[in-house]
Amino acid sequence: MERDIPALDLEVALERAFAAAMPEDRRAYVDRRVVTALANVHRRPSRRLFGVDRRPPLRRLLLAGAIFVALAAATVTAAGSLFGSLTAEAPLLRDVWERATPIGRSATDAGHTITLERAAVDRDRIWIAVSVTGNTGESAAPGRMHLVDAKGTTFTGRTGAGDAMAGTSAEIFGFGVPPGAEPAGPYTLIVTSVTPISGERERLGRWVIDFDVPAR
Amino acid sequence: MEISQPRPSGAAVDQGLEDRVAIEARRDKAAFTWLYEQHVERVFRYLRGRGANEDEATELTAVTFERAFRHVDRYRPGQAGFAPWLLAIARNAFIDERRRRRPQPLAEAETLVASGSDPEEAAIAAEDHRRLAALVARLPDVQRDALALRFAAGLSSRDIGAVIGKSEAATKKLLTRTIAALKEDLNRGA
Repeated sequence: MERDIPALDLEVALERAFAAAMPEDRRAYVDRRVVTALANVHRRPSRRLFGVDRRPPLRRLLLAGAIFVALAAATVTAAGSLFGSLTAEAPLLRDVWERATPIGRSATDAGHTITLERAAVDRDRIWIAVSVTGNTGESAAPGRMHLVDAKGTTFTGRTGAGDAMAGTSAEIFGFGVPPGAEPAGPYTLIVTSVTPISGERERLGRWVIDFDVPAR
Repeated sequence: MEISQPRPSGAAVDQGLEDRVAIEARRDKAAFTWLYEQHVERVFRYLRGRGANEDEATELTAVTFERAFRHVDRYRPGQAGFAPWLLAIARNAFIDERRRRRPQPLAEAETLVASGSDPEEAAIAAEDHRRLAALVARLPDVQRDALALRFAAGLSSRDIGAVIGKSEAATKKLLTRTIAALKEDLNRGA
């Protein structure tokens, strides 16, 4: 049977035909791949601190002293300044950081202290800002982790960005909320490994931090 | 026949802002994350529209962003825009993948996904959708590519031209002819 399909209807049909939604588990997989790719590049701090030094001995000594003082101070404020530089030019992360609720709870295991600095809960994403401080000066990023809410819903798929220097890393992660799910506090963050920035094998451990923030 | 401009999918982001963020992404991973959030769904939709199954599209989406992060310093602000640059990477990844594999017929209905929310409406449209999917799957590669860039990735004719290496006028003509041919086939009940 012959009929006439208006061109605009056909375009609408094509839009629908090409509207393949990305399933949550697929998104989580790609998130992990991209986070790993980002975590393997730490250009700024390492070049400055560990590049080949051709300065005269006296200058090297003075510089070493200056670096020691700077690192000592950095240990105290590293997480704060790292979050500052991490969010300074990234509108999305800056928005999250500014409206997130300060938490400031820590857990220590396997030679690393993980601190949940801030958190925010949106309808489609739960955001956490965490810092990891190596007790021996080793910089590491959070590895395997998930969130559990009061209803027992587990949130695993995530994306994030971070930076590291002087044995401390700062990362902001967004955990995807599955369609139809409504996150309900209180929440528990469970981290089961950290990944050294040096590329060495991940350190297994268990860091558990409870927190609660209102949903937006 | 004139084809309409693509409707914006998701939040509209102006090119100036994306250019600034892309420059920052050369040294700031957070900036790259922002670009990733803006475009990940679009890249996945495009790859599915090209005929990649869900596994392939997932893998190639990851590969696209890994390559984009590695080479973000090659992005030139002020030209076509970040989305066409990114989709060109996705397109090359898809072509490479298909070259590696033996040629195989493109998937039909399983690749193109219906999104009718009303079950009754969806049931009525199902037959038309199946036929449309079958017709799209049989299109020459260049036509299917242009349709995927328009209807899955939401690019303008100018941006599609930048991805596939044609002028804006030639791209418009390609899209117009492709849609006209589809319309004719559907009207004939092909």
